[in-house]
Amino acid sequence: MIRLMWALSLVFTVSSFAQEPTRDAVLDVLRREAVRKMSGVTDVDDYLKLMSLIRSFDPDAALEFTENAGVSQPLRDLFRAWALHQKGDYRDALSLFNGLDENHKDYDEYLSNRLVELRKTDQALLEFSVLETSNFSIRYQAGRDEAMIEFLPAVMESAYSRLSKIFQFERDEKIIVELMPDYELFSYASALTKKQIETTGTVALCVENRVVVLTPRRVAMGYYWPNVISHEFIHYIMTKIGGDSVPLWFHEGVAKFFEGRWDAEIQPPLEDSLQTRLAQALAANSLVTFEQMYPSFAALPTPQLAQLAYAQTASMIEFICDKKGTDFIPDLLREVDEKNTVETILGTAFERDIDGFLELWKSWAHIRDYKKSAELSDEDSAVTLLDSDFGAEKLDALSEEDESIKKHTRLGDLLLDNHRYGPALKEYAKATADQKEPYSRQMMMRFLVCYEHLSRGQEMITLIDEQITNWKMDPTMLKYKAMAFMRLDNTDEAKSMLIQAVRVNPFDPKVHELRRRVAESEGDSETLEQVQKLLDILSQPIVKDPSKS
Amino acid sequence: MTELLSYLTRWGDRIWRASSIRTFGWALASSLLYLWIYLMMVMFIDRLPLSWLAAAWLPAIAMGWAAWRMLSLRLRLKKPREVARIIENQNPDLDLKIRSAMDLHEQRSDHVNNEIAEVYVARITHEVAITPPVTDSWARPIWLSVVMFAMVTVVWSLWGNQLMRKLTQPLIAFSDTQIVFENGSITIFEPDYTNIPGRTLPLKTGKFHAYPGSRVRFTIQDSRPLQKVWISTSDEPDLVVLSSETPGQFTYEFLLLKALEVTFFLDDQSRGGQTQPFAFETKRDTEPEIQIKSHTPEGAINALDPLYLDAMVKDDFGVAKLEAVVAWEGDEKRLPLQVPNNQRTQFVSKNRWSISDLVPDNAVAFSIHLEASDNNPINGPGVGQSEMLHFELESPERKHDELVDLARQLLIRMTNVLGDNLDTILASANDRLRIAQAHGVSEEIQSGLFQAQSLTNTIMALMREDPFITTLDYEFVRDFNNDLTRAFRQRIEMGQLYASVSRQARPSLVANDLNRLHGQEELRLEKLTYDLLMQLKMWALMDMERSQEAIEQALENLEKMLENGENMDQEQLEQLLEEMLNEVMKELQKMFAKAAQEMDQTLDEFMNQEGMEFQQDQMEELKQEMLEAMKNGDMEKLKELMEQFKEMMSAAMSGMQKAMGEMSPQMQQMMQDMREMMGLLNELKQREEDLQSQTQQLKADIDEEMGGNPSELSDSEKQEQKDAMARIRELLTTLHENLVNYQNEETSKRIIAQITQLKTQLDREDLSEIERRQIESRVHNAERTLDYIMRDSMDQLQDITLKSLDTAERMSDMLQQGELTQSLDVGFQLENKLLQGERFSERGVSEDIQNEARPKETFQESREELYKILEALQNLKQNMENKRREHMAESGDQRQQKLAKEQDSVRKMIDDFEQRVQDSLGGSQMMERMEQIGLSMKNAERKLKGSNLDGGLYHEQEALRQIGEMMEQMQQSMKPGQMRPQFMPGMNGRQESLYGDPTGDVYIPESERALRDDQLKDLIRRQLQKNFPDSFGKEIKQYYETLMDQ
Repeated sequence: MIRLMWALSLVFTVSSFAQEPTRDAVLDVLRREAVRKMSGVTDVDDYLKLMSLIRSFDPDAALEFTENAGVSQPLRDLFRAWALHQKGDYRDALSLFNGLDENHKDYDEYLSNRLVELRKTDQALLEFSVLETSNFSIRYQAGRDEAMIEFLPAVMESAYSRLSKIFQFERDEKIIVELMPDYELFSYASALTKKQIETTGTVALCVENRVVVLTPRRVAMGYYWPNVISHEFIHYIMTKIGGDSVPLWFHEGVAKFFEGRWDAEIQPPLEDSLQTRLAQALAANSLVTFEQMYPSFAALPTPQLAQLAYAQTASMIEFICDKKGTDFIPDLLREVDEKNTVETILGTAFERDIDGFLELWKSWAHIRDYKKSAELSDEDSAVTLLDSDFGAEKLDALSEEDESIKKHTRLGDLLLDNHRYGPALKEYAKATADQKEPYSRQMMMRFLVCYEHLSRGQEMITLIDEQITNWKMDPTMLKYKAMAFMRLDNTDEAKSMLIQAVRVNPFDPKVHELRRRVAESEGDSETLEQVQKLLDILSQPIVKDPSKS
Repeated sequence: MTELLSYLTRWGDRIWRASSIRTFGWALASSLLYLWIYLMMVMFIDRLPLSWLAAAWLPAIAMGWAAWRMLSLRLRLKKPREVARIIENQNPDLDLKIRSAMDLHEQRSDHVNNEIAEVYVARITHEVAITPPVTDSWARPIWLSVVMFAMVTVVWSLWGNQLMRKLTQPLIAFSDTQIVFENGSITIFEPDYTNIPGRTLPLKTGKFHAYPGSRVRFTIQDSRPLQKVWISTSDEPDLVVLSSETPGQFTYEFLLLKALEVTFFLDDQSRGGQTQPFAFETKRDTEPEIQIKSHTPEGAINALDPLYLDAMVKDDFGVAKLEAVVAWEGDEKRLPLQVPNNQRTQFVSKNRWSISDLVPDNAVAFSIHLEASDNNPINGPGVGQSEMLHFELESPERKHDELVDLARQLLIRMTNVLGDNLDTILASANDRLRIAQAHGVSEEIQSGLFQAQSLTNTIMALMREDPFITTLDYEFVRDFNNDLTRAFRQRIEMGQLYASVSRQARPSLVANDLNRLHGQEELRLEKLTYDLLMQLKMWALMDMERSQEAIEQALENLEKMLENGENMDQEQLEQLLEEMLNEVMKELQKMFAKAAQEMDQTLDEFMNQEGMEFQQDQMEELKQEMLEAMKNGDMEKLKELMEQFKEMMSAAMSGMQKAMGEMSPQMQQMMQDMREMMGLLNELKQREEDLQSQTQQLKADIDEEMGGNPSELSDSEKQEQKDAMARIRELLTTLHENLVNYQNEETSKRIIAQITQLKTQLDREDLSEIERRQIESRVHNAERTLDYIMRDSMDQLQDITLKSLDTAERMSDMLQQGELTQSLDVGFQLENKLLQGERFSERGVSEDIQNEARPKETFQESREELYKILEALQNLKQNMENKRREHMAESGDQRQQKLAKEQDSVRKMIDDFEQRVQDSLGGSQMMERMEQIGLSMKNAERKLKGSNLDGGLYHEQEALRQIGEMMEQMQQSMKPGQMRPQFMPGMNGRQESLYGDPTGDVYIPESERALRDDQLKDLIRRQLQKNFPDSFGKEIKQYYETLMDQ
């Protein structure tokens, strides 16, 4: 699953929310000591205040404060440019950034890196197109990402209307959403390496006063982007309300718990995989501690633990909402500050210290009885980033298989090439006759292609259900399911599969062609028009990535 | 009184003015009227001698009269009393009154009362003043003048020229239109290009013919004293006066460019007239005509075979330029051909070209025709073209592609047959419907198997011509075919079972059998299809391997070129480098395309795979850097970049291979063995060359020891041989000419007409049986002749004749150079060709042709002549050899034995190699060639052992020749786009019989085979023209340079 790396850049601040005050105090001293050593800082408090304003997404205040802050001119200019960047004023920000030397002695390593990254990001963002909705300013690269823009505004507005109600949030400025066309650019924005993005699955971020999201076309198999963006938007709201005093576990728990609410009136239950992960951990009493969660979920040693951390924290929020009501969350966020921490507030509310709160939650969770329904895959949270677009999955050679499987598969492929679907199916059946494990993906696709051509819809559905655990997040399988339902004349199901497919990967023309067929059967002219537009967009030649040029 | 006089003077002036105008008007009108009448007369009267004086006399009189009238009136009106009288006459009331008044005033009257007189005078003055004189109207004559003037103007404007011409002459018209000159001539100088001498003709009217551009000169001289001569032509009708150089003689010259009529107008004082027109017509200079007499048969042509084209070129005044025009895929090349200086109007152009001279390596097909321009600079040049011949270049690559395509079709067919088998639903014998359906499918399978078999047979036939096919491939296809046959038989058996099911005979048993057979067939078809698929994959890999080797070779050559770059100028080197790099990149592109095809992807998809595109981009960049380095003269950097380029290239290639699948170990072994074979051939060549030079040295030593070998031909023998050769050449030349002359359109037409006529005769009923049979036989004969011509047999016969002639010329050259041994070799070749010609003449040549050209006899006679020479040569050779042998035996020389041993050790290298690669290359064409080389070496060894040095040398040369041929072929086959088919079973024999010597037989310069100069030059040129300067080309160049130094 997708998780937030938000805290990676907040390594100093998060430590202040650690549970042990002594350690907090030590960290605070260390931090102040580090700042004191910086050559451009004359007033440590001013510097820390500036950082805090930047981190709590308050660029206007930061700009104002910068004028008289006790820092050197290069630092002042950097903070000004940074604030301008946060405001979305890329041109001014870039001209300031361009005048700064990243090797200046006043900048520590972090600031120096940030300067370079923000400069590169601004440079690219200058070329972006902008779509203004009621509450959002969506920046994207013209071209194939326009396909995403067909869906994104509706999702964002829906998220705004539902989530702002839950969090009693009212925006003071339009919220910037940036759709990054490739992972290089996303890397600059997120300060994450390609490897980190791939292992943690961080494909969206709430950073620099905006929501930054990587286009699903550059992620193998796409991802369920509405929930991911909604998750990040919740972080945005929380930061706006609670500043940078909200601890990481609370941030992630709330975002995870409420991420599905962008589209739902009623709170949806935790995802099956999270429930299963949590149920297993509760049973084995192998939970992740708050301490382990710091400094970032992404820093947890395995993706499984990260997933468990999400499950735990989301479940805690569920517990809080269950006991105190949903409104407790925004109220808490408004109360929280450096002195009045989340733990303190919770302690007061539940009349226990934080350990007592955790005990209460555990007992509740045991009673809550999370289901162990899903089969867990260790690779669930990882993603594969692509240099070129992920469109539609194609039949490809099988990976290493034994000679007999190869032989029958190749014969099957030959028959398939010659449109002999029945015989091809027989050959594939021979190839998998002795196979007990689930089919390889390529084999699966071969079966599906044959079934599809033979109009054997029910077999397709059964095969996908049996073989693929997480087909709901699998655009290819969703597409085949839609085809299967269409073969079975179940238009409603087909439609819902297609909507889901679009929410995972809106860049597959085949999905839109299927949508067109459904829309034609229903006489839905609006969808037909949209599909035509999308197909036009997707038939455009792929342009070179700006960040590579 | 003064007042009265003044009035009278005024009125007198008025009267005079009016009268003058009127008079002048009349004079003018009458003059114009006369002029008009005169002009009309000039127009219509031919024979009157009128002149311009006639035109002027009346106007002159009229004007004179008018002037006189005006003058006399003037004088009269100067007197007031005259004016008074006129006025009194005009006004009866004033009768005498004015004059009385004048009298009174002048006191001439008796009346003396002055007062009364004054009053009277005053009254009369008043009356005179108010009574102006009545003047004559002048309007009429003026109007008349205007009208007449208009009429004259009209006449002048319409016929002015004609009138002017008539008027300017003393005689009014050229009334005589039939004048004939008594003397004079026309000289016509035809244009230079025609080379026709000028001709002078009597000056008689009529028609003359000349070529455009001719100069025509009229010389006019007549007994009549001609004063003036004018000329008018149909182009310029206006008369032009001719000048006269000597009195009475006129000349006129003009350039005749188109048909024209010339008419002369004469004035001889007594009368005028004109001649009848002299008409000139232009003759047409015809375009050159080119008739192709013989040529390499159209259609497929091997790129290493020569192309010949003989044509008869004709033009009425000579051909200035003759060109061969070769066209291929949107491009064209013109090769100038020689036009014999003394035979420009009709000659035979005999041409032989190497295909490499005609079209670039990558051409697939081309057409050729001859184009002749004549030397007409006036309205030419006329351009004539021959018919166009079309050729397609045979290429081993294309042949192979064709074969692979067929194999792909076969795979599709097999896939469908397998599909049908798998689609068959075998039900119980009682399920009639299912059984019937299965039966239907069964028939489809049977027909599919049949089609697959016929495709396999075609593939097997094509394989024989595919140079890239190895024994393994043969075996595969053969086994495949056998298996297919088994499957087919089994299917027939199944068909019978289906039939018995429908007859309801032992249904359950039959159903069991069907099930069993069906299962067996399924397995067999799966195996066949899968094996074929794998075979195709292997072919694709082999293909790639070949491309890879070609690229590697090209890079190696590139390196060599850079090493030896000092000898070339910078620009040349740059250009060459760019060309070669482009070639390499092109080759790589081709490889990419093939790999993509193999993976059922488009090139774009394939290139989009990770790394591929990047690699190609990088290589392109490197290429640019290399060119840059070359420009800057930085050779070190260039070499460094070259290394990088090579590495990248091999990485790209291995990437591709990986993408396509690994080569089987067996195939890898084979490729390695093939590379080893190339190395072995190099080694063999070197050692055999050493051996050959040692043998030659030994031969020379022995001859020297013997004090020179006395076995030489005597002068008379030499003369005899020379005569015989001349006779052979003459016979063959005559035959060729006869054949060429016989084979023309006229002959065909004549034969067709003859057949028609004979058939008409056959329709007659009054023929006797014998007569009928005779006519039928004649029809048959004529038809055979026609058929012979139509079937290109004539071309082939001509071809054989030409080839024989060519060989005879080679032999003649060698004899002249005293190369007796080689003369003998070529002599045997010539014998073969003559025999071949003789056999060809026996088959199918009709009596008609036989009578006309006598091909069979010619070949026979030539052969007999040849035997005279061969016999002498053989004896001579034998004598020389015997003498040497005896000498060696006497002196106990053992050197030849040593050479024989050495030869044996060289041969053993082949044996060793053969044993080692038996598994991979055994039985292949390549190995067969190797065995042949071994055999030649064995023979050489045997001869050397028997102290037969000439024999030994002969076989050593033979071995070298074969090695060279094989190396050349292997190099060609490694080089895509090169066309020499190699290792074709049976191909060499066929080549020989159809097109003469395999061209390979001249490829060993070091073997001291005496090449004719032109052959050698041709070889060198061809080698140097190749894109990559291969080592072989260098060797030839060196050889040539050495030869030149000598």
